[in-house]
Amino acid sequence: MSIQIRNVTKRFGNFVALDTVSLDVASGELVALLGPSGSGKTTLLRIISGLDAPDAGSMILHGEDATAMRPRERGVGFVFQHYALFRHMTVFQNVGFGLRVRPRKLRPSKAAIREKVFGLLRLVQLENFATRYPAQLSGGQRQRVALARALAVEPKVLLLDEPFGALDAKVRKELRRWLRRLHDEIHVTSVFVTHDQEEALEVADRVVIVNEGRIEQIGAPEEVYHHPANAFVLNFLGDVNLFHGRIHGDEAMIVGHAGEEPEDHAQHAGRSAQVFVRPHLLDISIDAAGRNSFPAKVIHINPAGPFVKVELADARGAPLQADISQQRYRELALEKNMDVFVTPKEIRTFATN
Amino acid sequence: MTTHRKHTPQPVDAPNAPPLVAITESAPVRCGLIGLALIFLSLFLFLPLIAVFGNALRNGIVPYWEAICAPDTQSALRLTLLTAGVAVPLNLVFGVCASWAIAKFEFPGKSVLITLIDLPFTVSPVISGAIFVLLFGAQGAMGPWLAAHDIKIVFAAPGIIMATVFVTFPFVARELIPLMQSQGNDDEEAALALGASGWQTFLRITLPNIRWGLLYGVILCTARAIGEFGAVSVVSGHIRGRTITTPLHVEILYNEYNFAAAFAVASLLAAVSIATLAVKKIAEWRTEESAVGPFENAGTNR
Repeated sequence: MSIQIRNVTKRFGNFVALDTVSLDVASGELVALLGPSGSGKTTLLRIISGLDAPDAGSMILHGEDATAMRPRERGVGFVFQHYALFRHMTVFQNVGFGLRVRPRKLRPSKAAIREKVFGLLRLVQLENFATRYPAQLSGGQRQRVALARALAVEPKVLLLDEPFGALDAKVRKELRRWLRRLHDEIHVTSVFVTHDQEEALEVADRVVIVNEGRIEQIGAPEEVYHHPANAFVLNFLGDVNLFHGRIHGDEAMIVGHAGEEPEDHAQHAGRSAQVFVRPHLLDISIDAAGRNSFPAKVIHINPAGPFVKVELADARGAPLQADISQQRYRELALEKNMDVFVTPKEIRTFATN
Repeated sequence: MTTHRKHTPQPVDAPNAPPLVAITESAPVRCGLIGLALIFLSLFLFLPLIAVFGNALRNGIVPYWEAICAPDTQSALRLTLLTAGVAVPLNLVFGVCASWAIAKFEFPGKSVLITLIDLPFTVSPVISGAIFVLLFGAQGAMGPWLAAHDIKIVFAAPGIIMATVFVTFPFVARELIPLMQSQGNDDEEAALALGASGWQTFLRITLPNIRWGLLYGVILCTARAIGEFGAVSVVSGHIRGRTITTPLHVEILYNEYNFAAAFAVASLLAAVSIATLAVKKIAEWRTEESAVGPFENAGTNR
């Protein structure tokens, strides 16, 4: 089922949580709402679910205006951040709840409910846990029970609020791959909220980047990562080094680095810009490597991990970060307090006003 | 409410942990403190309790039984049960409604309502009773109208019930508000999103979540409704066999120097208190279990 959100605005007192947001989600798509805390992404999810009502704007579910519909009429499944499992019910009762509360006419028989619940528990690999209480499960298991419970009512749209937020790093990675596979199997239109860019880029078909109640960019993961629409998106999707610079024609100059500065008067010419370089696109060398190189001093080296993370300071003492390969690290024989040159291999500029 | 498990470091497992003795008091201090507490409790709690039962049974079991079976005692007991039987369900419904409204919704005047719920706790019971006399008594604001319609409230059972309702007002609400606030709305929202109606959500989710806290509030409310003296005394008018509740009956018997009977009836009230405390303790354990963040105990169960 497709979702169309049209100019939705939501205020909490003086705080504008959503500011005329519009978003289309195609049927069967898996979309991530990505943004920092307080950006309005959860509010948007709650408005889709019907748990909150927008102050202005409308929402269309599969061509039908759903703005005034109550949650139960929308056919949405909602997985809460802290799962909200009913602690006085077993796993079986939790998953079957949505079926048991149906009006008598629509309610499946006891046997049918049983079959359905065990089918879902098989799907989430928890068949042997049907008689357990939520308190007797691990975080990852609770997460899967919450998912099975939401799926039991056969929702046309599945909404997940920070689905992996409360799990430890390893379980989180396993579970998000599992969610991706599950979505490929059941193809229910899904929207999930996350503040973890890695999670959004790995799991979603499309990523919606939200900031301060507005949508900054919508696109496929590779699109938003490689072609960020603005400085915020670039900044949010991974670490960056920020420089202040100027744009002259199709050349960008970083202000304050001897190697890059043209004559004095040119510093004030051109448009002011922010220049971004991702740490893995900042190369380190012992000698200057062309006119883009500038000097820096090694402050700290962390070789634990796939990349060697090098912290540097440029001539003015501003911090820089470069991620270089282990091999390059050995070649350079880097040490603390060494004077080196850094060379951006690829930069991205956004003009500032 | 956090859902992640906490791994509190155990001091005994830590290497080079100082011996545990270092953080406790020395033996004489401990014994002194415990002894002091025991002496105080014995003097002010156990001794009076023993005295009540001792005096009640001073002349043997037969006079004790006769005192309890006396018609005046019986009618006092009936009135007390009627009062508690009406006041407790009323306050149960009111308490659940008020806590629901306060814990789950934001509305103007909420803090005023929370303060007002506490009013019966802060006002002297005598004043609580006097309010009803002033309102519904013959000289009161509504007195003439009530007299004209032949409705008796003050110096009759309705007045006693109203005064009791007023005095026992806060027990259920006070117990439930923090509990419901700590539990939040997540479970209810989950139920609504799963298609449950408001009523189904209340019966199947909210009520089970608050059941032990609710029981605790009802127990305290019942105990107070049975034992209330001050407010009831003011509105009762002390009409023997008609507007005398059990605590008032104890006072009357005592003033008539009928000590054995007075203590016999008092022993009933004392027995109710002890039973209440026992049930309350059980409810307390259960409330603590359900008030703990939903899954905080997870670690111990695996």
